[in-house]
Amino acid sequence: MLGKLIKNSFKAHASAVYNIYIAMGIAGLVMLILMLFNWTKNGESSLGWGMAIKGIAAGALCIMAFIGVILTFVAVFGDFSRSMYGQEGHLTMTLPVRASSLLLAKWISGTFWVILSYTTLCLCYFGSSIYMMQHSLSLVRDNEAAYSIYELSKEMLTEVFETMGIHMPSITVILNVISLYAICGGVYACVFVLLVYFGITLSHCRPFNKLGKIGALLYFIAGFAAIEIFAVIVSKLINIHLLIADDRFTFTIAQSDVERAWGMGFGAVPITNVYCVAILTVVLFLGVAYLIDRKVNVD
Amino acid sequence: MEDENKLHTAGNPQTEDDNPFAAAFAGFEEQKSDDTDPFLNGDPAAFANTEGRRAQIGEPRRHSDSGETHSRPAAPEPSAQQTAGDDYSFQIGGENYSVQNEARNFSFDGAAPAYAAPAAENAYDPATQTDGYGYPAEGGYGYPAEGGYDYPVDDGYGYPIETDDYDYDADPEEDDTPRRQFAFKVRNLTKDYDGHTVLNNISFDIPAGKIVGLLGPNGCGKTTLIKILTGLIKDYTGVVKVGGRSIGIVSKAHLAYLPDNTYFPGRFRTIDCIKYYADYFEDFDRIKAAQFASDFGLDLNQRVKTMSKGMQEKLQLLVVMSRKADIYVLDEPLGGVDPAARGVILDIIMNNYKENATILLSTHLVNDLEHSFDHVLMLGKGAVLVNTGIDTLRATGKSVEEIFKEVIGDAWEVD
Repeated sequence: MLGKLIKNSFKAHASAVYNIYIAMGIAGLVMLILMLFNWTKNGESSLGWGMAIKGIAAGALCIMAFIGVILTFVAVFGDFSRSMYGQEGHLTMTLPVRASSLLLAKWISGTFWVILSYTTLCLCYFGSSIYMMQHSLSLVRDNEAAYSIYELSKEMLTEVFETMGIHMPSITVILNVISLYAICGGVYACVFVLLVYFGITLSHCRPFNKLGKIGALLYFIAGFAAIEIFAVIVSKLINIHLLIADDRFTFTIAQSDVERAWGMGFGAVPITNVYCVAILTVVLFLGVAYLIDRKVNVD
Repeated sequence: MEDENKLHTAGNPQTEDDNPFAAAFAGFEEQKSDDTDPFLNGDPAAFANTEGRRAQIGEPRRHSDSGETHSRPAAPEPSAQQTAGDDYSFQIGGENYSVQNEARNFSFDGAAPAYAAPAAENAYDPATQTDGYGYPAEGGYGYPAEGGYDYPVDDGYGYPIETDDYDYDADPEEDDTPRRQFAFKVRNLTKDYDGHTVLNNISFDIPAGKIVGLLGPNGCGKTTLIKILTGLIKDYTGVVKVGGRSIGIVSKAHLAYLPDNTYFPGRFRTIDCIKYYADYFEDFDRIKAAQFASDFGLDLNQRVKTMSKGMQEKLQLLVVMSRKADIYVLDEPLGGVDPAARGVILDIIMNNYKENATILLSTHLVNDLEHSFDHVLMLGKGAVLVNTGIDTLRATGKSVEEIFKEVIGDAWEVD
């Protein structure tokens, strides 16, 4: 049953956001075509229409990605409210499935779409930045004075980093750090989605239903604040870092280890906060499932 | 064993018609003395539904064949909330009835009708009569188990005596044993919306295998009751059993629900709705659903959002009636349908429900449906006004609609 619930949740969310992803795909395609097309005038790069169109396409892609995030949020959370506690709740809540299964399916699907939209946004900004940077660089290369300034700046920055003792970590370390931060981001995305579900659910339970949609927002903020405060307090008491070496991960509570790791070009990620949030997310899930099972009313 | 058999016969609601005297009473269950009913006295021990839980509350396990005699926990005194209430009266069959304490205490005014008056010889002595299990001879409502009232007998804990053959220790969520004595058992159900009480401490049983008309004026709580029975409303007080089970996965799997609004997402096509039901309900018949769709002239690829309201109602009806459920709960299936289509829809409902299933049908259109009902439950002023078999009502010489107008007419009165 859980598989069917997840499948249907994915379909519901996809049907709400597919338009914006199609639009982003078209914008990306336009950018690719423009990138491949050499906008030159008399054999030289031009700052004219070619640059303008490339800039507009890159900007449009970023704006669409941002709108995509907003629309995804609206679709995911609107679908949860509508399909659980609105008219569609007459169908969803009379299915012979456990409340926890319903919630889990919505949670998995919702988190997936939220992460996807955010990842898309990051990639669009990152890709657009590189795209525009490369184009700017090609323009700089055409200009001798500008190119010399660019080279000078690059050398100065390298010297500054070497003076400060900051070494460039290896590619493996960088990838590990990125992976770890991605996992942390995933945990925060999970708790974010669940907190919104919590707010919506609580706003349909007596006596918390008096504030309506404003109540849902307030309960979300209150839940978020409670989790963060708890996580910060615990992090101060037990401050665990995860050190990232090329071939291993090490947990440490010693600040000197953390400083040494950074000095050697390794990463150190504060992990206590993430653990606390992850554990509280499980508790929150059980709480929301209980509310759905025992307390909530369908309109 | 002979006693047991008698008990089971007495507990069978379908024998109600054999005894008009008893049948007249069977509907007005609220009139019965509730003082000894642990359910109605809010005794938490009465809500225990497993032997294990019974053991926890100090009551010994019952052995129906052992003939052992066990003592029953004394019922507490009725609370002030249960004894307080409004009084009003109405007429059925020329007889005046007054309803006190939200129809919980029912009394006759004037000459007792031949079919209804409790004769003195029917009085029983709980101290001397037993129910065959060593318990005082009462059916959990202060009525004798075999005292001539032929009233459905339960074990005092909300379960029919015949359910002794199922496993009390089984997880209610997993226990799929069919229990057909009652489709619905409701005890002390109260539901209010921000201080406005819609259902006020009502209790009733609906026998299984009947077509039950749920009647009442607007705002009397029909839809609220249906939402509670289907598990859509949870913040109520009281005990509700559907098919002998608490509301949960199993009860939902056995119950087909047709709401009075559109519940399919607009993006769904007809075929998606059919697939959706087939995904979740094992008793769903895809072929029947496709046949219905064809009969209704519904395009399998048409989306719900492009359908008219009538088409949406047909679509919902077809998926609900394509199930072989034990209980169908239909909330205003004829609401908003033109008179020509009502007959067709009614035919579809009556010709396609699973044999021996219970249909609870909420409607305002009493005249169109009264010939289909086996049983009638009328709500008004937050109380159960009438809960009886159709034959009992017909014995009054009036149509259901006439009785409905008389009873509901009183319920409409503003305090």
